[in-house]
Amino acid sequence: MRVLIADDELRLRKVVALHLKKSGLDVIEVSNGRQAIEKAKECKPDVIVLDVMMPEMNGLEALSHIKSDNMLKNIPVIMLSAKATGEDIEKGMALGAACYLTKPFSPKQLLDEINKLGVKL
Amino acid sequence: MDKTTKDLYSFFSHNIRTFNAEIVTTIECLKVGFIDKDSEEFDTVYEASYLLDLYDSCLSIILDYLDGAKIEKKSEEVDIVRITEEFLESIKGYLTASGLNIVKNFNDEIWYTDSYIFKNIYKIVLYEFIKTASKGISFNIAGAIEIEADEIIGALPDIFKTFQEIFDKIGFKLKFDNKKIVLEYLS
Repeated sequence: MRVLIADDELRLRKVVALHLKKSGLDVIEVSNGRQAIEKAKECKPDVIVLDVMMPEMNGLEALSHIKSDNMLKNIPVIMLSAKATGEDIEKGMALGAACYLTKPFSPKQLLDEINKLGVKL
Repeated sequence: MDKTTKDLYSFFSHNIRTFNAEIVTTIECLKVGFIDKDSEEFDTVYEASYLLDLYDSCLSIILDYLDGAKIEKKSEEVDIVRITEEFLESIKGYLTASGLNIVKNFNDEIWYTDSYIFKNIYKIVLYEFIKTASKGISFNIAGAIEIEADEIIGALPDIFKTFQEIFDKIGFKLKFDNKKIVLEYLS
């Protein structure tokens, strides 16, 4: 299964990617929402993982673009964020996120969510 | 909640949760055998823990400042080059992973101020600037501290304005734009 991760926090992105790769997934990394959209069109991932607070284009803006793009709208998106208020979570879910995990999260929980969404495809 | 408090909460919460996530994820990698404790990847735990402590100390300084605590220029010695070198060493895992080309031009500079406040805020200013830099970054310490990035992605956080105010109280002038930071010692 191919997973695209967008997070500007380099150290976290690297260690999450390492966990997912060692778990057998094909992982593509980018550092902002704009790159996520471009890369998603190019690589057609099975699942997209988006951080919320990113430079250039944040995760919620990217999610909104993805869900209004005919080519991308069916790809499930997991929001991964340090923003943990109910309002933030509701915003992400209302825009069409499949689930919303708050940092700090268990990488196993992320892997389980990715696998669940991948199986549904 | 006023804007400064909201920005403060958002900045520190985001960073502290991120460092915490880095620690949890790396420990999980160790637990399931994806890395071992002598690996470079495991250094993430030390680096994130160091930054967690730094941001926590800085949060306490800023809350004291906003609460009206007396902050003043003291006469404690700070060795600017040593602090800068030590900090860059503390985040060497990040610097390696980022691929940033680092250029250093250091002359010995000993300044006098409140060393605890200076060190904590200066290191966060360095880290936040480094995080926005791509390609390369140059550090010049000679009379003043000048840090310049070849290219920047995003913008520096709003909390830099509060850092500016605190630096002003302890005898420094912090100037910044999206490509350069200058910290002058007002002797």
